[in-house]
Amino acid sequence: MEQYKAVIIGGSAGSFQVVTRIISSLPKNYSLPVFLCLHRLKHVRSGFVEALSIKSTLPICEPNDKDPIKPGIIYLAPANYHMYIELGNKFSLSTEEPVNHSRPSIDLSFISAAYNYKRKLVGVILSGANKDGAIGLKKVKENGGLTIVQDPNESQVPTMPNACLQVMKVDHIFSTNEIIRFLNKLG
Amino acid sequence: MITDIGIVDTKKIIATIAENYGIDFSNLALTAFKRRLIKVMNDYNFSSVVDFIHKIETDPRLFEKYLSEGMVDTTEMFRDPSFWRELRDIYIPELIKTFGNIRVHIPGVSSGDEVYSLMILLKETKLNDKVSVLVSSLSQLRLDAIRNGASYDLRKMENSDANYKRLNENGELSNYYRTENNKVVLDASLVAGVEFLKGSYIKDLNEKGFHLVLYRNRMIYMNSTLQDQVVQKLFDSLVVGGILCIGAKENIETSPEAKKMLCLNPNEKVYKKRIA
Repeated sequence: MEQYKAVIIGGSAGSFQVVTRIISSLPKNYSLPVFLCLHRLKHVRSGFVEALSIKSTLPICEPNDKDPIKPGIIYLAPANYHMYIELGNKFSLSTEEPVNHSRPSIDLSFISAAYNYKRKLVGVILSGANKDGAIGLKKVKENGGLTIVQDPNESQVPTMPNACLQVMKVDHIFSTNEIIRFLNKLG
Repeated sequence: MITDIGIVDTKKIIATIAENYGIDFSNLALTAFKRRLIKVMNDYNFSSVVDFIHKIETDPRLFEKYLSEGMVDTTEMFRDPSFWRELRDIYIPELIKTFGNIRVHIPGVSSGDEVYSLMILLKETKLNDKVSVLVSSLSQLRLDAIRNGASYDLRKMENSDANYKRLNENGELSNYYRTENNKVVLDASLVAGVEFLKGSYIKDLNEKGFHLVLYRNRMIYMNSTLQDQVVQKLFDSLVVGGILCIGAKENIETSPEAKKMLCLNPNEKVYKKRIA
């Protein structure tokens, strides 16, 4: 299997349980960093990481600006910032205007990750109620990365996976179980 | 429409700006800077980097506009209401108690968000006459806009209104602005006593003796090299006992000056200068 270097997951309404299931089933010695860009309340800075940590096998954190990216850690985009992957294997954050009413914006995180990891990136879009993520996932594909959407039939709110399917040909349409099985094979 | 520009072109643009205007953008964080360039180029309908560079070289007045419009807004007033509450209830009163009259610097501003937020707090706590405020920016256009009440998209005010409510349950931020053609204009009398200064904080400004410096979410647009220089400048500009406020997810722990500061609140990233 292609040697992938990172996984990025975007989700919004209806994705919390799916994300929880995914991160609770990754092995303890997972060898890739996992970036989570999930829509969340702008003004609530604490609690989300703690809620996700309960089920997670891997450590989760909201990175500070310029933090280095390390394998085997789950990184959650912090409230009210865009989260970028920079050259030099580190994060940068931004307070630029919201995109698709969202900050963090899934598109912006995915675009920066696609640019830096090229074909070494796996992008996953889960359930959600708007079209944020579609342009980002398309960029992952254009840069040679692998693209996955959660099966719209299984998604609680299928708008986001459907928006991806409308603008591009994704590599896999997977159920949550298939996503889990696939990510486990990577690292 | 331009969707991406490569590293080589980005570097050419940076070199052109440095050569013609003496402004050094070579140590900015790349992703956000590229996004700003792309935004400005599309706003002004450029279809090639060559044309854009030519304009920068030949039209200083337009360059001022690019500079102003390319800057990142903090995009809301009273961002992190919990921070403003502590500033209002703890840090400013303590500084005044210790030092009497205090001097505040808000360097490198792009929008009026931080300035107006602070001036509203000072007015409401009736502390204006004990506090003098300096605001500096690279962009004269931005400074002029702030002096004249700034001007915001009405939509943008939703967040600011909500933030203010979290800080002051019974207050209405709309008491401080009027609405004109879907734009919001803040009450410019709030900043009547504020001093405005054009210049780069790194290169031109050597103002010192501040008791409070607000510098939230500006270093996220810099690389580590520039951030370390800036932290040293900020540190030097503070009196011993003075306070530096940075963004909630910014991190200066790796810079040498961090050891000479005490972190008063790790969540809001408030630092106090312990020793010179």
